Amino acid sequence: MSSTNDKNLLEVKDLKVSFFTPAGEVKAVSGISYELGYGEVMGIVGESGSGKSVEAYSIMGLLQSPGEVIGGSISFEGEDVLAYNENQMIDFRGNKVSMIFQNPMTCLNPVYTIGNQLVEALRAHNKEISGAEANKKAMEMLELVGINNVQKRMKQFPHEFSGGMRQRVMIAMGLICSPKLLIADEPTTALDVTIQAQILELMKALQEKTGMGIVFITHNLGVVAEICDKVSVMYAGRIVEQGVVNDIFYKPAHPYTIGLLRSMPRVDAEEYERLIPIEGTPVDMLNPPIGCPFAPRCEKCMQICLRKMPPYVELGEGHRSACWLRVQENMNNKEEQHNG
Amino acid sequence: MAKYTLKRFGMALLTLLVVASLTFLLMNSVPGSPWLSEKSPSQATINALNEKYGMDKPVIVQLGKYLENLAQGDMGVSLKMQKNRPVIDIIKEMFPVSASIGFFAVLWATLVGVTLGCLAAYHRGKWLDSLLRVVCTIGISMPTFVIATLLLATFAGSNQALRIFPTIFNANLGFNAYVLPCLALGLYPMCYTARQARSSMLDALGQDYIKTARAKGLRNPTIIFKHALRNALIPVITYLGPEIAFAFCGGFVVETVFSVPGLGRYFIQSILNRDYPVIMGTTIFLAAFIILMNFFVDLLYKTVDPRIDFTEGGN
Amino acid sequence: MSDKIKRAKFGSIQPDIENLLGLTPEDFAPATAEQKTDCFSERKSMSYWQDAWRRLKQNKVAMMALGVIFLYILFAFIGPKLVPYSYDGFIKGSENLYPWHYSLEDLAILDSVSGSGKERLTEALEKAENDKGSELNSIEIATIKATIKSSNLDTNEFKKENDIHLKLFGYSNAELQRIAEGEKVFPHVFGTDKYGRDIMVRLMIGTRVSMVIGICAALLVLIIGAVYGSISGFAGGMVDTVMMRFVELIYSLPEILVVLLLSTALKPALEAFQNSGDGALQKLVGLMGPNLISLFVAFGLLYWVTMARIIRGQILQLKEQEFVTAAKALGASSGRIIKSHLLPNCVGQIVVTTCLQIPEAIFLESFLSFLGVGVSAPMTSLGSMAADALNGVQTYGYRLVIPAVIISVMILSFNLFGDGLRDALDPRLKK
Repeated sequence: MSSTNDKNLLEVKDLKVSFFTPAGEVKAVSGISYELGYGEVMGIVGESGSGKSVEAYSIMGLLQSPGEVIGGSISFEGEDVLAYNENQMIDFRGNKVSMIFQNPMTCLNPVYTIGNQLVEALRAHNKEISGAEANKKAMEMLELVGINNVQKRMKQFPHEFSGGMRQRVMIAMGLICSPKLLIADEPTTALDVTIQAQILELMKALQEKTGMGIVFITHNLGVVAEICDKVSVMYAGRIVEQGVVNDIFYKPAHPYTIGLLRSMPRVDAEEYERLIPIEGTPVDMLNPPIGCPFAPRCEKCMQICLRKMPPYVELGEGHRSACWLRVQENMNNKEEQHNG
Repeated sequence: MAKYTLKRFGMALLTLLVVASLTFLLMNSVPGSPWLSEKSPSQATINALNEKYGMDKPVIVQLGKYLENLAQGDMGVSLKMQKNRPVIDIIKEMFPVSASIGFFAVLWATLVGVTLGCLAAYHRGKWLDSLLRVVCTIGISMPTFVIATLLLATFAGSNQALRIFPTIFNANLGFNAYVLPCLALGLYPMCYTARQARSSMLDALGQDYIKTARAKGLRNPTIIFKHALRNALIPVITYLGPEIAFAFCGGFVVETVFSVPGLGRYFIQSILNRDYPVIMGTTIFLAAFIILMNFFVDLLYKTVDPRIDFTEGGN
Repeated sequence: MSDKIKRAKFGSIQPDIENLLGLTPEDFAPATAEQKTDCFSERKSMSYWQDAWRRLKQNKVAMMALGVIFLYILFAFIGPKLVPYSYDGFIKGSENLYPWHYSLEDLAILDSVSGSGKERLTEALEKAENDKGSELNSIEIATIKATIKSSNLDTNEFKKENDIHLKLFGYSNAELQRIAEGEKVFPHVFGTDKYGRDIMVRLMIGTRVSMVIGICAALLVLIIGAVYGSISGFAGGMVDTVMMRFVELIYSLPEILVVLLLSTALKPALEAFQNSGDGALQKLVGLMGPNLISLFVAFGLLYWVTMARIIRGQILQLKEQEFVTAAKALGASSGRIIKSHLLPNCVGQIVVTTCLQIPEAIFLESFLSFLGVGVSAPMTSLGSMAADALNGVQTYGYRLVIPAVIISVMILSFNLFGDGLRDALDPRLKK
């Protein structure tokens, strides 16, 4: 699918989000930037606490106190999302951008039928549509996401659906207003592996059909490989590496990314090969260390890493990494160029 | 649903049976017999009583006979306070007043309590929330008799200007007469309900499906009144049962303070006067009523929450 | 897809700061392990209890409530030792004293004024009768009275003009005399009742009674409930189901009715027992009275269900955890597991629930005492004092208000402290 214009679907620039807790300011996101074009799938990878969900919530305006966006900008189709007033935000959510969440078991209201909740999602943004039409559209969506017996299912309550099916319903609800962007916050994490695969297939198919962009948040690199075009690897509230999916997998340029890849169990691994974990514990976001946040866990840590934040180094074709090793490489190359 | 209803009803019946038996056995432990008023009754009296209550037979048989009589609505006659008047008649006369006061008290307590609780939850952290929480905490710390007597002191005190509501209950005075007793009786349940409602509303508002609702682009009123409220009300229903029970027992105090000619005050008097047939009959009657109310509340609760599955072969 | 990706210059650093950095080759030397661990600032680790205590201390409301409870304990237990009156001592001549008084001199002045008023009335009535020549009818008497009255000094004005004020605390005239003669007489801070008994001392004793009952009842409930709940929760399966059915049954019994019933039933038996001998047990029964005993019995029979439910819930959660499996694998007996592993983890819940049972017990006891089926004379309780004061509420309003306020504040303090405890021990529950 080609882009319709030069504008990007979504542009996040230097976003900063902090939580002002009684214990102090937790800098959940410390300046991340990425771009998503129309029809692209961006994977945001990171462990718990890396800030990946927080930045997604900021896009949707779902941050709750004590969280606040304290810097940067988010633009959707050229419009500044952070400057939206309440009416604009309501028009934005569910309509232009939809979000689906991690835990399908609790994300649906238990006292209303599926049909009721689907139709509600549609009519929130299409006030003129008739009840019958809305019902019809809702049933179409349920079929689209692979649910059988739609007539019966519309009248059932969430507790009568399994986990995988509830997530399908969530997807249907997210897509019912034909949004241009879907944000998926770890949609498969809470599901069985086989169901995971089914949901991913579904999402891929839907993405191809509708041409919508997806921001796919996960901690699972395997999922990223399945569905994403671009990847941003986050650690401690920063993007440490960013690039096209092939670059990330075949030419990882940051020790954290390398560590993640190494710690993944592989189908083709030899029996005796051990998984290599990343040593150490995640960062305390109340007192983050100065310098590179990954430094204490990095086996290639250098003196400078502990003292200063590394800048981004362009590695070609949108692939960049924030690591002093790359800076060192870069400086060595420049020297060679000078000398050579 | 039918299976569940039957199960619950059976439980209620069993509880009632236990209460009736317990009452009878306890009263029977009194020296002499609960049915005798004079110290030396005539032989004819004794014969009649033996016939009816089997006083010369073992306790189990007596219990059986009592329950049998009970099933027919015969609770004996009052021995001290209204000699020889059937207890069941006394109850029939006095209960409607107590029931009406209790009903209005529970009504206003629930409506106001739920409203205030939801308000507090919506404005969480702001001054309205803090104010309501303070008021309700104080409210549940004041025993009913404190509230009732303070109201009495205020409205029947020396300050003539405050004598707007009658402090001695007279049904003929209409609505005004109900104000003070219902206010006193309902204050504790209202505060308790408000706290419950606030807590369950906050619970509901913190759930994931509210997050989904916001992400769908729904407006705040819809989120609160459609999505959160229904879920928040479900736990509040569970409190209705104890609330009704409280309305009856709190009624003892309120009726005493405001001189209401109701069953509660009569019950207390019968205890102080040791009029055993009245004590037994009233206890069982009140217990039966409370158990019945609890049964209905149980049914109500299960109908409102669709997660509860009472069809066979369900989840 | 590649045409969508922006192309940036290969090898460029953004921002281009390498020249400003002043980096030296030493900077790129590898870091040592110690340097890496030094980065983590150690947060002092605290035990669960330290953490909870810290949270509790920060809760100002709960701390204030604790302070109030402490004051109450002083009032109830130390107070009576400081006041020279006893709670059941009739003091002749000091009946029905208000908590305030006029000094002897002021009383004399007031007497003389009203006295002159009385004299003038008698004079006027005699004169009118003489003038009329026959007996005065009621209307005439009333008219004369009104005339005299309106010409009387306005008492309040008079008091203000002559600087006559009420002074704090109640004294009878006789006592004021004794003070004037140099004797030290302890004031009747809240006045006296119709038998001349000092009200403050009675309030102190009443508070003591309420508190003791509350705490004992709560402890009773704790023991029964914890044992029942832990057995039920730990056993699980059929045993648990049956035990919980039983709990449901008890839960649906109207408790107050049972208490009343019990007290009625037990009264004759206990009275017989009391009169049967002179031993310590009989004395205790006599002191407490049958009502109180049935209150405890009823409490023990009925109120433990809340505690049992809570403990059972906790145990059900805990027993699935691995440390229990580990203990079992090591061969620990069920009793030991419950005692040493499960119950200690429930202590938080136990403490909170017990603390919140105390105000419930006090509530119940005062409720019953008010109705006349609580403590029996001569023992006094705040509830029965309020009941006694009900009749004279128009003239002696304070006799009702003061016990009512005392008991409300006591219950409130326990509730607030219990809430604070709960917040401190499990902050996740905090709303």
